[in-house]
Amino acid sequence: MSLAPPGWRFEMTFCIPRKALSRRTMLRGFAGAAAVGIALPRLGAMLNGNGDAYAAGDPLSPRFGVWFWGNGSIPEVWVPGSTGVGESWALSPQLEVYAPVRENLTVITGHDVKVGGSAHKEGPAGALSGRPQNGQGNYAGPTIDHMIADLIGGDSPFKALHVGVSRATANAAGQAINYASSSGENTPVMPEYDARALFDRLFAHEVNSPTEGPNHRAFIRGHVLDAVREDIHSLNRRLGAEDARRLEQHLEGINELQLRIQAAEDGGVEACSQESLNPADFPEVVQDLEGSAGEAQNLAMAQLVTYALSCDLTKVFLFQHGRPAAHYDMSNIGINVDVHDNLSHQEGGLQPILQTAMQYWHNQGRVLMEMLQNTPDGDGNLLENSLVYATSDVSFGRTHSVQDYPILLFGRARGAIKGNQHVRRPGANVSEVLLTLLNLYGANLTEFGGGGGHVTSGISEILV
Amino acid sequence: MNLLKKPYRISARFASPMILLGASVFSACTADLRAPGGSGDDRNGLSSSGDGDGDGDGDSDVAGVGAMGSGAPGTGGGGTSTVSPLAPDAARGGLRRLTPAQYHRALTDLLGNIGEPYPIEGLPAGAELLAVSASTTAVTTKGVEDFEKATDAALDAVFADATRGQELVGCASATWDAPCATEFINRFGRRAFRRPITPEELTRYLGLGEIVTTETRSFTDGARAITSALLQSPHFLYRVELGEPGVAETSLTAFEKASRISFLLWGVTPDDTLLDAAASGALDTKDGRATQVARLLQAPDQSNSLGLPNGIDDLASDLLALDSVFMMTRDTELFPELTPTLRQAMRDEMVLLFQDIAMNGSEDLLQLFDTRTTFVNEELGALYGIDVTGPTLQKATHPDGVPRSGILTAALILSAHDKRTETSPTRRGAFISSAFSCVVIPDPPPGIETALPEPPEGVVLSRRERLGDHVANPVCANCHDLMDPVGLSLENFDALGRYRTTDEYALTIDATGEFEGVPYGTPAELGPLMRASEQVRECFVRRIYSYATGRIQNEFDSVQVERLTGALPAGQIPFRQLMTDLLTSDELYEISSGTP
Repeated sequence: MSLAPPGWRFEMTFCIPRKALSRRTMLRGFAGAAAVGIALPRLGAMLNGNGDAYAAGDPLSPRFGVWFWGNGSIPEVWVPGSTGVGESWALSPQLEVYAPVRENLTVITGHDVKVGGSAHKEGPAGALSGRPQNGQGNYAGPTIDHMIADLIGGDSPFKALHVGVSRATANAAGQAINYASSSGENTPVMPEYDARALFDRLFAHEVNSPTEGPNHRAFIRGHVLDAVREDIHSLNRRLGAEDARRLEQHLEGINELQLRIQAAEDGGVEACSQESLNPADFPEVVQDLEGSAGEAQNLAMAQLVTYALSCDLTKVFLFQHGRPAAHYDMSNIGINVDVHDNLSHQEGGLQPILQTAMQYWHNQGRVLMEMLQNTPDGDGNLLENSLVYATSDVSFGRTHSVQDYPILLFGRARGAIKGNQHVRRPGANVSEVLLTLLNLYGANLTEFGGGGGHVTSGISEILV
Repeated sequence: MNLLKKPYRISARFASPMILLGASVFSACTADLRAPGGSGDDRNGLSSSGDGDGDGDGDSDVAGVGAMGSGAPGTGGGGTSTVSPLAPDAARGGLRRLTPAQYHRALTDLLGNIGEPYPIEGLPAGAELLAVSASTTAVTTKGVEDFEKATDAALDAVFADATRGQELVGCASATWDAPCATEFINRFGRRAFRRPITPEELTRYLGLGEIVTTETRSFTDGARAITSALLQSPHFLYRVELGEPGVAETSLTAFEKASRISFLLWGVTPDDTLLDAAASGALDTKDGRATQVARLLQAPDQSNSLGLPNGIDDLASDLLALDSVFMMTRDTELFPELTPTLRQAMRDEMVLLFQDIAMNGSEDLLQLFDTRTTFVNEELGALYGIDVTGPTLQKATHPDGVPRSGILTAALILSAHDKRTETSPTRRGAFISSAFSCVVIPDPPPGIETALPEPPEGVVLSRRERLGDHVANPVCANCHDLMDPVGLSLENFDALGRYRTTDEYALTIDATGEFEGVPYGTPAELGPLMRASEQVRECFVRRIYSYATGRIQNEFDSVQVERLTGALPAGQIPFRQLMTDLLTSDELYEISSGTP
């Protein structure tokens, strides 16, 4: 039986800019042009001579992603034996799978989640939000994807995309054990598991289908949403702080819809036309009760995320490969027991069967990273120009340990970080990583986090 | 690849000593967990629900169960309420999102048949009832998008038929028709917003209709735009419970009361009769409310696919976490019987049983714990050993000799808290503790080895023997004593809820247990003990009250629960009486006078 995922068979077609593109044009795309079935990574013609900025002079904004998997790691075979940059460190057994993207890999070890809390909740709470879970077992603030989307995602048709592969759940109470994303306190964001539905959201929407003549539909939608917005404003004045915050979240959704309508009125987002992708390639997942981490599902989601980034439909994504405490169905590779109950928590020694399962998950992570790496973007590739923060819900699952937390960074954030590095900082706070990420995207913070997650410095070792 | 075969064994692993739990955790299961709101300001999560399951896992497993006693007082309504032992304040008013079921029913109620409902974002499961999640969580960006698409899909269904569109709007004008639009906004808007439209809103919606009609030269487009905006307004998507605007009110408005009554009993937006009763001031009196409550209880005209009132379906679903049956995973080789139709039958059984007891017979909800009645179709009957044919569920009685005891031994309640390959006495016990005794068991603290030691090579131990470690170790026993004794007494039922006398290791099952300090011999004896428990009785009332208010309970709410429980006949919870007492009381509609 082969554990190798299928090779990347994604055929990228290319768009050709039809006229000089302004910064504004990036959102507008091909005004009025009849769709010619092509889509396109950002090519040199749209960029300046150095390929690192648009001709108009605006810098390319880096993209940010989160890749989250369930059940942590086995520290003894996860942590590389040596540290350093370039050839001076070697991949550990569990990380060997990432050899093809090693130049774009930064392994961070030794950091602890220090927010306190309960099993499978404190990990996500600390590693994703930098704050302790709240009394309901939920995130007490936004997770890193939303914090960075607030910094860089605001003018994209999709401020952030959330996709999932396995929905197998611990069936447990509290959101920090069910979701890897929350836009604020008590506001978990569920990923899209249905690749077909995501395809339709991204590509079948009129944002990509400029119509001839007056677009009544866009006109009507815009005015309807304006009325809704006014209702929200007048209601908001009567609410207490908590409810006002909830309604503001709702308003954000209205704003994003209007941004997309505006983009459509301007002619559609650049060249991300649906003809370039065949909807039939994207499996419709109606209800995968068993939560299998199937290769087709993973590949489809990886393709859609890659396309969305490449087309500037979004700058931020969260790829929830598994949930916290994931009860992945692994019967497709012959593991018929529950990977969480029976393996993560019960298997002895170095947990060889669990290692097999973990290898499979990270192979799927590798599929996404390699796809990003193989996608041209400006003068480089999409992975180089992005940063993907990868982590899990625990360090060592058998003990629910949150010490020596598994953290990987993929990509170079357009050259801002070194890459091909293992940094080990025993006893450091996981929030230091989050602070570093936030500042890479322009947050200019001198402190970050809440409770035991509060820190006042980041990790300088990984920066160029 | 030769991987593990069942029954699951792992030959070699370290025997690992339990690490001493921290003091805060140690005290968690000895503290008085019944005090509602008592540990509310613990923001580090140790007051949240979960189990502390050491039988191979360590997670919280209480799916969507509204466990009381956690969370900060007043957070449900936003803001803080002053807690005084003498005169506790009601929570501040707030917004309650319609659940997907309520939303789709309301759309159908307002628009007529709209075909297959467009799926919208669900409510995230938290440590409390979904009804509480509806008043504390926010709709995501994707959720807002869903609302727009669902509205479009529904309006497509209506306006595809010109006649139907005209009937909805009330006229067939070709050009902008202000009088017609005004009449429509006032009429349709009152149903959609569950209260009269304000002059400001009327102006806004007229403006919308006119600009769209002018642009498209179609009054139908203008009317449709008005409808679309009304249905995407927060006043439709959320139940607004704020009292009179601009007034330092201490009570919900009459229209907001109408919504509480209607959503609790019918699971849908109030009908015109109820709105008229609100407009006339009738709902501001106990008698007026009693008349309407009696009407809704008498003639439930809203009914689900089983022909039952939707309000009951929603209530049972939230109290018993019924939808977890659709999320549970089971090994398909070991449990090939678990088909989608069996899952649905398990859920339907619970709703039918709840309805049967609540609305017929003695109406005493506590019968749920020890009834021998069930509802089965062929598939579920096979699981219970009851011979029935066909897909329709029918009323039946459990066979003699099988120690079933109401919902406690129902297939759904048992299996929804089991594991992929086997039963989980700890999870079952944790669910029963939080759902029926309102005792929430905290998660195990991180850093401890939750795996139980493996028996020596060649020794086969029963689950009870393996879990013995929990009770032998005082640190573990502290919490596990609240779960394992009840859970182990349910070992007679496998991970689908089938009766058995030996476990998968062919060991004879010892199904003795202990509840509230009283030992019992078989699972059939657990139900009567729970039915007789005053704590269980008050817990049941408490959770229904929480469902009705959508709030995390505070001191004020606790007083109401005690008052309501005390007014019922001793040892019973007659459903209609409880609903009537609850919905006619003035206190249910009290809010604190926050001045935003």
